[in-house]
Amino acid sequence: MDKLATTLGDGTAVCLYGERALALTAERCLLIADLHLGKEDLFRRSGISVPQGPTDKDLARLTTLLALSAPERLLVLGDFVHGAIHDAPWLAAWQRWRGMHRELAVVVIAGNHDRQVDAAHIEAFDVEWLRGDVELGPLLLRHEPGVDADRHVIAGHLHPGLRLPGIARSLPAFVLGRRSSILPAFASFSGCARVPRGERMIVCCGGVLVEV
Amino acid sequence: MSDTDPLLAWFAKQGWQPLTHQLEVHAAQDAGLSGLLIAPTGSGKTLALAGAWVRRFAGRAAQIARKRRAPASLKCLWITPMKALALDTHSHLQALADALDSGLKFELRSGDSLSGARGRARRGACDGLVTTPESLSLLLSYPEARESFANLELVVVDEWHELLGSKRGVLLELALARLAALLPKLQIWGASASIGNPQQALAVLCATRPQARLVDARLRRQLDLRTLLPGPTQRFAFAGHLGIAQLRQVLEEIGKARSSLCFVNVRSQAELWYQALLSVWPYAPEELALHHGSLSMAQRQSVEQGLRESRLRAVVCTSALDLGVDFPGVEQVIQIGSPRGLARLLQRAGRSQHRPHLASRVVMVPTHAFELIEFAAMQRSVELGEVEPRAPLALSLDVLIQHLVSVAIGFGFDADDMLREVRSCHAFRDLDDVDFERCLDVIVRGGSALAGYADFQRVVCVDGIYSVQDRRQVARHRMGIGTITSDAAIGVKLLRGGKLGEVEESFIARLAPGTRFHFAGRALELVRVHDMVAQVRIARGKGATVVPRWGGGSLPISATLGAALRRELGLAPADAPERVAAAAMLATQAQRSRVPHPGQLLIERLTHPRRGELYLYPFAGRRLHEGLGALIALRLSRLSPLSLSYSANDYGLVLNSSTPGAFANLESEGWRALLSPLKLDEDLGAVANLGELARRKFREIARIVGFTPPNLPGRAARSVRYLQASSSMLFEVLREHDPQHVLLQLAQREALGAELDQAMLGECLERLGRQELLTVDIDELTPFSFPLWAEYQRGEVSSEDWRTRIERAAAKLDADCG
Repeated sequence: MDKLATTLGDGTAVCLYGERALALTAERCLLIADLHLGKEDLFRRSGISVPQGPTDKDLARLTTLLALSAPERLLVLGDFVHGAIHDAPWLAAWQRWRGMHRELAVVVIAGNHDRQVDAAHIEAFDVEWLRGDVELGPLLLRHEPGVDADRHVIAGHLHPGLRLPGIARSLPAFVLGRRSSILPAFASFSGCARVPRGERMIVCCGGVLVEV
Repeated sequence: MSDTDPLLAWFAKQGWQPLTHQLEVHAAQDAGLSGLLIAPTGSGKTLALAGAWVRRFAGRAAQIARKRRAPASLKCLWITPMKALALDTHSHLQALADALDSGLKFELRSGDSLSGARGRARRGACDGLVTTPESLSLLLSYPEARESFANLELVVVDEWHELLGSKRGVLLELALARLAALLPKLQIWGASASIGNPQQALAVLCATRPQARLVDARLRRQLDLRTLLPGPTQRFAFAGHLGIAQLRQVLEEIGKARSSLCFVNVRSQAELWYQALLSVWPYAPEELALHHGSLSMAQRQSVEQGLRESRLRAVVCTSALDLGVDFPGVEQVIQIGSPRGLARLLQRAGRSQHRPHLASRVVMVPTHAFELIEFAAMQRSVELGEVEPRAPLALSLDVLIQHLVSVAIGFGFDADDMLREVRSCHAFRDLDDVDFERCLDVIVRGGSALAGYADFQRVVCVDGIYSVQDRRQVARHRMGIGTITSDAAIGVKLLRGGKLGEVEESFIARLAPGTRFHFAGRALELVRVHDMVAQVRIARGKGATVVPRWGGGSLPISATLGAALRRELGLAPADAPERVAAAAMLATQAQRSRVPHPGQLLIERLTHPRRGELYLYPFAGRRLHEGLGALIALRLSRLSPLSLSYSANDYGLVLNSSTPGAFANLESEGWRALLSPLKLDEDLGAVANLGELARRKFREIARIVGFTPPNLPGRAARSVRYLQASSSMLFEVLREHDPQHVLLQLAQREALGAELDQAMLGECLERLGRQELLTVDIDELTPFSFPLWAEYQRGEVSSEDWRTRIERAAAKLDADCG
């Protein structure tokens, strides 16, 4: 997996990973956005045949990322789940994964897809649940992108992506701007939204990072 | 026929002689047979196909009126492939029914109908129903269908050639098989324009009806076909497709006739031509109109009405007006750019002087130099009576799945009975048990047995009967029926005022609020997009505007036309005016390179300091050329690790390598190996694995089976928004986690068959194998290569460094996705 040490618009040193995560080196924090757990399940319940699999794959990617970056905390910038929460295979898979990484603190900033999450769910997920803007060192973390007077903002929500010549689909990308940065969606079963060019963009493609 | 035959009496009263084919169809229908009528538009098809049936009810109006307490029951279904046709057919049929005093009442049901008409159609509360294949499928998804279709006697499929060869045709085959199974005595009739394979067209339509009759009217319309030649000083562009340079001359031609239809190939071109004509229009502005499939029903109808009443001097239109609407006032057809096929040319020609025995006048307007030769080739083909065949599709499992769910919603079905019924269709006569089981698996379990699909539910099987229990899914499925052809559509609506029409979502997605664009002949400004409706206002003042680019657009030239083109090139420069006009272009070609004869394949090799380009001209249509490009690129890359790209047009293809001498060592032996038909299946399989073709095909498949929710204007409720997934995402997930999924295999097969035209590619390679190779080294672009070069430049990126990085990413992606 590619790894790219760089700085954000405000000079904060970070490390980008090809599997769509960002590590805050000083804080020993790994950031991902838009995990969308349970998405396949909701599709299946509506009669769209999506096999089980993406969840297991995403959790395996996360395990690899933990091994590479050895963080103390994992921060999910919103859209932890996709929608309604059923007692479905993905939930058991998450709990298994959580059990294997007990020492890791997992913090979730609620996103727009997380509306149906209640206290019982949070307990079942075994995560720390926050809402709104979260300050971390020199940074401001939130789900939906925005700017702040004092701090560089890191957000998710948009699923930013970029279309490259010769590749028929959009590829997920980091958008690093002067005052804010946006992470690509972590979920492998998710699409990309094209974002306006002009900022620094780093495309993730099968673990490879390509700065555009 | 006695003297008191009310139909003949009515004919006589109108001053008409019944035509032979009309009498032939009437006799066959009276004998209880089914069949297919081959006749050009404007030859009295409607009277041929409906006359005998309406005659059975002649004079019964009073009797029926007395009994009207009991609701009418549906006896005749009239299926037209296009909405534009339905309205007109409906009024013709009703006029016939009224003229014979039959008391029959015809209804119209299509996506645009009002809910009252829809309800009556669903209950069968009318004698005759004019509808589309999709609407028929939808009707069959209601449980009351069994009763409402119980008295059906006759189904007529109009413009069958338009449906044959498409998935809509397959959907109709399945619906007809359903009706045939319910109603053993049902008569099925069709009407088709001239096609190259009439017997097969009959066999597909009447697969369930033995002893069906083919009635060929053998009418050849008089055709006055002329090419609009460029002025002596005008230099012709070698590439391009808009043809606006010919504006003045086209305007002159319009001035010579009372009423003209100007056909263009794509909707965006129609908008452009309409704007251009309007800016130089010397007549009253209301005498010029625009018509294409994205405009609202009301707008289309008002244009059609204007044509009927001869109020319009010219209408700029697309294939949406191809089909048999009768506009007697239209005196000529102006075809801008190549119509890409002989059948389409004849169809459009039929739109002028829409009466049997009168010559159709067509003026063809070339948009670039090569089209002069294409037009010359068409002239010759028309003289020889050549026309394309339409190959029917087989084993479209996506359409089968949609049909199975529709039937599960409406009637419920037993698997064995269903399999028997499905196999009675031409498209599924070779369907094996395994594939049928796998289709059932997709709707019952989710996918192949090897992959996990916990909590999947769509269709359930209870006591051997397959049905749908979840009401939300019933609603969602019904919304999805009929989305076979249309891409996600966004309604365009004025802030204060009515709906203007629909555009593809991908077009609107590129526009920011405030952007101006041309649509429905007006300059509009996008205000916002909300719930699948783009709200717009009329743009004021001057400013740059965008013309929508719609998908689907330009079709490749047909194989029949390709052959005619090769033949034309081989003929000595004759005195045909098109050939004289194209002489300079061909002379340049001959001077810089060669002009191939039909027995020769021209290959041009151009070497730059930094790259190599190779141009081939098989003249087999863009789609086959794309397949050839993929195949040659694959085979070349096996010989040496080159990075190659290709692009294609209707006449040839170009292979491009960033290695300058990439093609230097290729001699005839090497060429023969590259173009060999041996191992074609295997190599194309490899191409389809590598390439994006299967993914592209999967888009349509996902929509047909209902995996991607239909984006209907105003109906994309919040409740389905969380189910938005692009087909590309679904394709990836299936490919990774359920590679045995039947729909993936279908996508691959369709990529090979339909997208790459496996069989035709095989034939093409056989042909190229017999041709003499003419390899020419060129040091500047030729008239043949220039359009390909231009095509290629469009997708080109400038920095070499950038390329390397992207290629690395792409290679990694390919490796990962296997």
